Amino acid sequence: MEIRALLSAMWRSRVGPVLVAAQVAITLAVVVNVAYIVKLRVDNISQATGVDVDNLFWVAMQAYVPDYNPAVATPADIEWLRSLPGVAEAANSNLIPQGFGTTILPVSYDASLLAKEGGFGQGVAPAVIYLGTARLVETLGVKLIAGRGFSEAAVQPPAADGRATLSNWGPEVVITKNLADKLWPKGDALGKTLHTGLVNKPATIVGLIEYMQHQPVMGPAADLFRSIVMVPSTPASQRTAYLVRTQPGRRDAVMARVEKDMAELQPGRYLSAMEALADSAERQRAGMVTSVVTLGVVAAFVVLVTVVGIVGLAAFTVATRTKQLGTRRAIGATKFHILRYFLVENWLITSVGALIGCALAIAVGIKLSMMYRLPQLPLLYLVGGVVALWLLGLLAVWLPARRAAAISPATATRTV
Amino acid sequence: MFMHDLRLAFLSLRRNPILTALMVIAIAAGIAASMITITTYHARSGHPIWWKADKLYAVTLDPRDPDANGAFASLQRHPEYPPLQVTYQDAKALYRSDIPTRAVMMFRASRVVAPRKPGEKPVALDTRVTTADFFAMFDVPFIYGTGWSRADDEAPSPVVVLSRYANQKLFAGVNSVGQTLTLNDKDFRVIGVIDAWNPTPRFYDLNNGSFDLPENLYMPFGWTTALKLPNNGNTNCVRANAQVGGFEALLTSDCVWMQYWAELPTATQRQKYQAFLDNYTNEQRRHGRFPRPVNNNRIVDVDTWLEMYEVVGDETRIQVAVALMFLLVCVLNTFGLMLAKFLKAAPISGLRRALGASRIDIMRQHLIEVVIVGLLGGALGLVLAKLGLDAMRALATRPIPGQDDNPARVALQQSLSSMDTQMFFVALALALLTGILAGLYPAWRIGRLSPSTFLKTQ
Amino acid sequence: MIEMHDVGKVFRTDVVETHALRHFNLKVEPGEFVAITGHSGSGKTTFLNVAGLLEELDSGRYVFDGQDVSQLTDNQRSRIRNEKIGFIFQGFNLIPDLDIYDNVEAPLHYRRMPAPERKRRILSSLERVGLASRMKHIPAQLSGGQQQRAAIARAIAGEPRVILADEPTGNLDTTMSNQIMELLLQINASGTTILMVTHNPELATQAHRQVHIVDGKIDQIHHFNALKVVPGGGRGTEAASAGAPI
Repeated sequence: MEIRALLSAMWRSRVGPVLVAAQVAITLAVVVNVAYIVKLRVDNISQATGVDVDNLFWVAMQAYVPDYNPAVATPADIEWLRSLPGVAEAANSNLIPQGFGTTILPVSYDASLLAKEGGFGQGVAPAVIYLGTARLVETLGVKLIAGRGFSEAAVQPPAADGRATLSNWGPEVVITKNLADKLWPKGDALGKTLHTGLVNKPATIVGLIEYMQHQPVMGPAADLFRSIVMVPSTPASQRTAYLVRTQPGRRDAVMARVEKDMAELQPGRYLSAMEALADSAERQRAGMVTSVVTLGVVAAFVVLVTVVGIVGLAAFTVATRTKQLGTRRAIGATKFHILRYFLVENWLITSVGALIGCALAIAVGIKLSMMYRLPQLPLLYLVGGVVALWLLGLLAVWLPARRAAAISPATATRTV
Repeated sequence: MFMHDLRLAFLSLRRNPILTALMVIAIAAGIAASMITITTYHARSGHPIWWKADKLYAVTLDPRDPDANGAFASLQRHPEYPPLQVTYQDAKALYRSDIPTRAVMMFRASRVVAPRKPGEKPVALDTRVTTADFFAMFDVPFIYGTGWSRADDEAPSPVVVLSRYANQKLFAGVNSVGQTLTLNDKDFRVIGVIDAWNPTPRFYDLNNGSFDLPENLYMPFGWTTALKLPNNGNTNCVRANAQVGGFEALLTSDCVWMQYWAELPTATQRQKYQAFLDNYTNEQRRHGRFPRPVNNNRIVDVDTWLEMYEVVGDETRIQVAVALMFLLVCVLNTFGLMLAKFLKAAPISGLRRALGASRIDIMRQHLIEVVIVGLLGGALGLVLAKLGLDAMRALATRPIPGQDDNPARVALQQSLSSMDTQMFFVALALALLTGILAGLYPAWRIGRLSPSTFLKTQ
Repeated sequence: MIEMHDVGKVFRTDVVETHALRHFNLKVEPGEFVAITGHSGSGKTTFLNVAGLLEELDSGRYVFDGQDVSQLTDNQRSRIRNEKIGFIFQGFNLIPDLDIYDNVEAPLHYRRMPAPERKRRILSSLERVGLASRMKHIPAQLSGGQQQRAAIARAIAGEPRVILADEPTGNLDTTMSNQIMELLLQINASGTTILMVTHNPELATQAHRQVHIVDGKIDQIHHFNALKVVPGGGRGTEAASAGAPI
């Protein structure tokens, strides 16, 4: 193989190869990083929620009269909801999973760690706080791996002061395994006392939830949103939100019924919002889906344009070198020799581009991970990117190279 | 001469329709991707009150515990920033200073207008509970009436200001000044109606979404305690000894939930105000508050404020970066194709040289060809960008349940993903730039070749 | 060396069928120097293409160096061209991106030849054409005559049995032409068979035989200088006889 001659030929018409190598370099840097960013987002979007998303919906009641009494209205609402045909469970809750609001409090196994002068130290973890009525765990459809849900008696009635809802704490809590493992690494959380800071409440852990995700987020908060405490309480005030789980396939019918009749059960209120949980989850993810689609489409175009560039350069080379290709054939090159010449030439250009691209990709990856709190780009992506570009390059050059190989040796004796 | 060049350029482009189409499409795709992302970036990085950019300052203090623990600190991207809101007691204390020309303390709440006749639906209104200077400070335009005075804050007087939308919804758009409105169970008198006003991003309170509409109802600050109004925004308790639970605890604990802004037009005022803040926190430290040893009190202008809140967002920045890289690939690509095209047609240029055209003539003719390709690509790119932005809007916007039917909301969504005239010129500039970047060298190279080289070879 | 029996070659387009060669019969002995003449379009280039295995024949039989090559595959033909035939073209056909050394090396690359052997042959053939000092130049830096000498060096580097020259002096002035012709005669004298297509009657007379082609057929053969087959080459200078039409 005439590598040296090939290199010197490339050097003499270097603008084209340099352009293609530059395109390959940028393409590699873009595609590898975009692939990784997209992968992180897709992972995030497709994370399990742990709750029965498809059969859940939420509905919020807003009161506008001063004598609205949630202590009466809320239990009655829950009873009514549970009596509807098609409803499996219903509960009043302060948070909507996969929705937009969040309540976070510090929790620990030791009350003194929460009152420490100077701030929270080791042994304190942030947790998402769900306050909900008796069958909240069953309503969400999360899986208990130990213990039980709340007992009816543990559920606190609504706080008199709407602002005090958050400190309206029951004597027992159910927490996710993720949180339990952080505070009790030995796995003996059940039956222990969980202390909660800022509200300063202790409660006995009576149940462990295998897994639940409050919201899909990336970065350090992702773990926090899987650390969940559920407290038996009635977080009802002027505004009261209910989670309802229906039997499979009955959700839309139940929602229609709720929209028609529920507000009228009590005077002085109206239905302020209602949404299927699947729609909430989709809305929560819409921004990220848009981002993934945008980045994916642009990256695909980058690859496409680079492939067009490779085909274009090769086709141009073939067109301008017809005579010398014919001569090469005349002096004894086989079709395979010609094909190989183009494939090797392209492979060299792609490889030089890929080498520069690797450096570029790593630099971009480091910059991205610093700027946007992303984990470092794994090397596997780089390797995959290089191999993919090699294959694409060979594929792109294949047709022009075939055309070059088909040039008749008799071209050499043609005068024009 | 120019028309002649133009004709030659078109003839040349028509000679290789596929190559020309490839170049135009490559530039168009690059420009479309860039414009889609730049438009989004541009809309998000707006300067909502640029004419007062050097006068308005967000005020923040740092009452946090000295060592915010690992688990919590790691959730923050900038643990060095003070909390971006202030506590109730600090807000009240700052409000006593007469150094700022104007000052506001405020938060977001919610009120419901009860049905006024049977069959009418209640209307929930996002409410801004604020001190009097809000309207003058942020240049809020009024259609009817005015805002209230500091005395009304103190009293508090039962007065409210409505948004244009709320006035439309409740009073069919007529002048409602003097009318009474029952909010939850309390009667208020309308004293003003503000005109369409939509600072984007909504800089004065970035808690409930940076790109949302301003509130529909404005209420004097004194009602905070009088009605024990719940905060609808973000409450962040920044010390371990803070108390959560009950309204009184919220007023006295180190929980931040209020926005504080000061109008400080002169450098002297700003210096004096900074000194005032530091004095205040030093004083408080003696009472066991502000446990951090070094003062971290900041007065922040609007642009810095928007940066601290990361209003533009990582996704948008990444998208712009990727799109510009794509455009660069398109430029390189067009560069190569253009060079190939010119070299292939070199004998024709050689003939023109032989017939008396100068180097400059040849270069100019080729440059015009390049610019035409750039402009065609730019035009197609704009069309593609429009389609792309519409598609992105459809993908990203979902109806939010319980949200009001304010038509301004749709307009806001539109404006966040629409190209204005400024964007049109950016597209034009990008198109010319790509064309010239891609074509300058090929045109120069063709111009530089001597006519004999063209004519002699086969 | 070359035996053509009834060879025919037809070019077809949608409208016309051109018989570039018909019932072409020719026998060339090893060591012979044959000049091919004829007007434009007479078929002499087609003859050269067929003789040089650049194109396949449509009918007849072609025996090259004792081997019937009428039915060979493309690869087999490439191999024969590479190992047994050297080409010299009117337009020189040097590869413009490569320097003279690399140009001469090109055909040697297509056979498995060890590098030192390649180097030896390149240097000796460049020496022979008097271009040893220019081997690092690219073709554009050389005059036409030098380029053609480089092309000759490329043709002889592979030590072929036959050299096919297509108007080797067509693009050169008289002085240069004479130099090239001298070189070809030398090469022939060392035993290499040469077939040369030419327009130039003077050059043609320096060959052993002149074959004149009209309409794809041999019209006349002139014998100028009889070939003496002497071991180790050498060239006879005996009587010339006016040719007679066959």
